[in-house]
Amino acid sequence: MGFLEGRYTKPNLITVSYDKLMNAARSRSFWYLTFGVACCAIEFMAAAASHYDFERYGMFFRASPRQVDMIIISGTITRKYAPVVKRLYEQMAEPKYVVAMGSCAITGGPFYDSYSVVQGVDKVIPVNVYVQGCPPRPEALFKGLLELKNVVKGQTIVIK
Amino acid sequence: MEIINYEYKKTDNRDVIAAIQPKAETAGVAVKFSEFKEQLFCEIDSADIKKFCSLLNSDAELSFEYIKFLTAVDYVEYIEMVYCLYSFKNNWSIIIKVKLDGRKPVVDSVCSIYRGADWHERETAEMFGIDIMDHPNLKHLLLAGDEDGYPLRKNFEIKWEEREYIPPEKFE
Repeated sequence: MGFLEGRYTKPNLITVSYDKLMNAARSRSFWYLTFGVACCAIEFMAAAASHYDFERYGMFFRASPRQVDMIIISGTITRKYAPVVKRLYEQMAEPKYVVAMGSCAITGGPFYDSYSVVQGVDKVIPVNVYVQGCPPRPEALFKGLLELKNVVKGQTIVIK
Repeated sequence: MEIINYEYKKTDNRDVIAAIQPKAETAGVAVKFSEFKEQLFCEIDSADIKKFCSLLNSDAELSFEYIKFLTAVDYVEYIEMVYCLYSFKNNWSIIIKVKLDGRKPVVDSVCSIYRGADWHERETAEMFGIDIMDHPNLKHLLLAGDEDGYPLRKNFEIKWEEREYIPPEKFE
């Protein structure tokens, strides 16, 4: 057990605020939706697979939007697809977080002035963290997800 | 099941013209042949497209039974429908071109002859605003349906106020 060894030999008491405890737990167990939109989803899958491994941060995929905390928008949102994304977001249970991954999800990217593309997923649903790149490497996605951890740590439940 | 081994023959466009021309004349279709980079083009009147396609498809010697692609081109003054047909039996490839009126483009559907033309015709209809007659299911294929105009027309412009996009409550 390393540094804990021999430290707590007697019964002990740790005092911590409720928010801090809850946020420490919440920020370490993001469950995300199995949801790939376009080519960024390839990098997303690479980040989730064994080489980079999301799960060491407590992230685990769920197939239903009703069971997830976080959705990663990994690709271009077209005008036809935007209502589907909105419906998925509405189905998620509170508290919910959104990561916009890649240029297309942030602004429309190379398809910015196309007739069929929504200029950024934030036109449809609120976004917490933007991860830039086309596509972002898994390391960049990890940076964004660790930023999301800070977003959660800044939130309060009991103290308003 | 009968297995046919088609042997490879280099296409000579004169053979193709010689095969099509008399049959088209018998069917009463005026065809104007032209060639560009070894590709044969057949230009016909827009009223004859269904007749001509069914001739090419049903004739045992020609047997153009495969539609490679179907689209349209906007030349501003007029709109041109483009049909790429292929004959597995003879290794013949032709492109049919049909001129349509630029203001009110109407053409017959070839969907009853080539099943593969179904989605291509739907896409062409929504992108160019061509009225495809007698199509079984001419609804939007790719677009959301809230565009102002037809995206692949030359006079199409994106309205930048559309950036403030609010998705509809209901969707199919």
